[in-house]
Amino acid sequence: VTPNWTRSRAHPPPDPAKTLDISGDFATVFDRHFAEIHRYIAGRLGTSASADDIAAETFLTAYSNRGSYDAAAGTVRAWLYGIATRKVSRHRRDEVRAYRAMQRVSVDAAPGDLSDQATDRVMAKGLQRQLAAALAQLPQRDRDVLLLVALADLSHGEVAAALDIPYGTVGSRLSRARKKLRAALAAYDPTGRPPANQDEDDNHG
Amino acid sequence: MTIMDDLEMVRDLLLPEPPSAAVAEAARARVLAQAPPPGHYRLTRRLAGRPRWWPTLPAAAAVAAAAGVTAALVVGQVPTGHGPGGSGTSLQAGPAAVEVLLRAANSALTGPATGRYWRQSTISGKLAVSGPNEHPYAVARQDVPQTIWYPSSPRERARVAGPSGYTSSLPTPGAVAAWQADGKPALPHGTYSELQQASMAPAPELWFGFTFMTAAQFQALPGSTAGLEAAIRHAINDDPMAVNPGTNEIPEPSWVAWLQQFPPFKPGTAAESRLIFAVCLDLLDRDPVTPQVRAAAFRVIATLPGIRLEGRVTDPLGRTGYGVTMPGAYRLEGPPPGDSHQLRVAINPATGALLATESVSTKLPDGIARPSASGAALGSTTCPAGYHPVQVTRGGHIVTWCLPKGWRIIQGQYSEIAGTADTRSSAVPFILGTPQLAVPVGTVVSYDATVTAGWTDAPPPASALTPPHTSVVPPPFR
Repeated sequence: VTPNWTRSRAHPPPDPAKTLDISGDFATVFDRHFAEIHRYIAGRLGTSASADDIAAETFLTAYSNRGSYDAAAGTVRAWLYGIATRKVSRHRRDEVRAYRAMQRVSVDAAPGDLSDQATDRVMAKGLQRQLAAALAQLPQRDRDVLLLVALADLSHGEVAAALDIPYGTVGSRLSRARKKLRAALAAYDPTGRPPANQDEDDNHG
Repeated sequence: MTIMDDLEMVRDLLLPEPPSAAVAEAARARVLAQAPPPGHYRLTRRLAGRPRWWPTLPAAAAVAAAAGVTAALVVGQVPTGHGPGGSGTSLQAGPAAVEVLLRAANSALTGPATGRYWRQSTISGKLAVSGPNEHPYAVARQDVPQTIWYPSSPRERARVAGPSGYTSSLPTPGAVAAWQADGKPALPHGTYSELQQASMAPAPELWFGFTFMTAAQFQALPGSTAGLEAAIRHAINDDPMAVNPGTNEIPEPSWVAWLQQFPPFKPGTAAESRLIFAVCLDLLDRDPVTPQVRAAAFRVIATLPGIRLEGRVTDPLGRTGYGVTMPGAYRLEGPPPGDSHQLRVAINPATGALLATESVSTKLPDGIARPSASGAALGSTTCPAGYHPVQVTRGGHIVTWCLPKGWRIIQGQYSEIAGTADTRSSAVPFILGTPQLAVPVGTVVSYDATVTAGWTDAPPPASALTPPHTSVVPPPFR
């Protein structure tokens, strides 16, 4: 217990019951979650210095907003992913640019190589390009839900808590997004035609 | 070609390698410079509202400072707090506790009654959980103490000096073994700057009960038992929700939320006794009061119902004293009272010093059956009715999934759960078990040990006097 000159009406102590995990031992929160939060952000924006910055900013925001963390509403992990997702959404252009870059990845199979491995590689690359195109075309809100499930392994309840949306909305956005991805994958033509490239605008609301 | 579902393909496409150690360390330094560990945080909470001159080293310097510190690997027993001849079970009611407190009161009357500065320093520590789910372990953290000089003159500045940071150690041989199995990661530790210093002008008012007082008002508190008790009762019955008539200031919501853990109580109730106890503890190890008031605080505690003596104890700094407890007791800025821990106060009756307040575990966390050699264990998770738990390994971690009755995992893949097309996203709640402390009952899980609390005429070291405007202004929070 360190001195009470840290207490004032202007800066009251946070509610210990709610903020103990966060303010009490923020280093632990950081150590436990930084790597996965960084991977999630770098997965969406590409590995870059700006991903490093946004990952660090996620934890700074978490720390300064620790009073708003409500243990009853969800896990610390889900709460951190929510903050990270809101930060990523401010970099939507970067995110879509990253997906577009993935579409242009070349297939590195030697011409005429018809081995199973080479075919698999070509197939996989082709599917990935198709997938990247589909991701770029998803509305932001659907993509947030999809990637919190796919990359962060959050449950429906955790996604709802992270994005502060109703539980049912998580399911509807996720199934809508997955339907589009599956359609894109099913439409993949291994004969080498480029992936369907629809409108450039990534967000239909 | 491996068959993957669409979600796995997304994961495969996008998810990069984990960040390098350098990236993590740089971010850690940057974040923890703003979000320091316990103790430091409490110390600077008020200062955080005056960021114009609050000193923070740039992240690069903090990294360098952290890199220069080697984690001290200390192997030993989890401290149980019981010294030689001590016994955690022999609680002695009433008279024995009163005798210790009254002897402490007499001893407390020595020492200077006032001075230019009230000098105060506390070392805080706690057991934290680290490591992966497979072999979690306890890590003992201890703050590097900072010293505060609080002036008796209202015109002078309060000053804070000392490096800010903390050290980590592995508290048991079992924790060492688990840490080795974890690949011997660097234990979290470090000082965030060579010297964190700040001064506050004018010196802020201090909190007494639910009221605010200046240092002069603290020194003017009555030294009689009845007088001090009356002052404390008045202070804790002051309406903390009231609008300040001078400034028309309305209490902030988070302030109100914190206060709401103290529901209204009637005089003579156990709730009132616990709050009086908490205010007395602040007077004994923290507030700028006279020796007479410290003595009176010991005597007020001796009058409280529920006080028990818990034999001889050794405090976290190795000093011996007597343990005093009260059911449901808490520190105003400590962990909230709960059924998993009990506050114990270590007092040296020969010197009248409050050595430390410790939070002692009284039971294992829910879902953990027995103490673990490493000090931590994976807590179980509870499945909703109609579901049964299944342990699977996902991303290198053991995860508990709750499957509907009659369903099973065929090949360890969520896409291959019998009986559904899209179980992962709809029917199967999956829950991550998290490691928790699993230490023997009676273990000290957190503590605040008083290093110094007393009056001095000696000024703070020159390094603590650096004008604040020469400090680096930290970047604003977003």
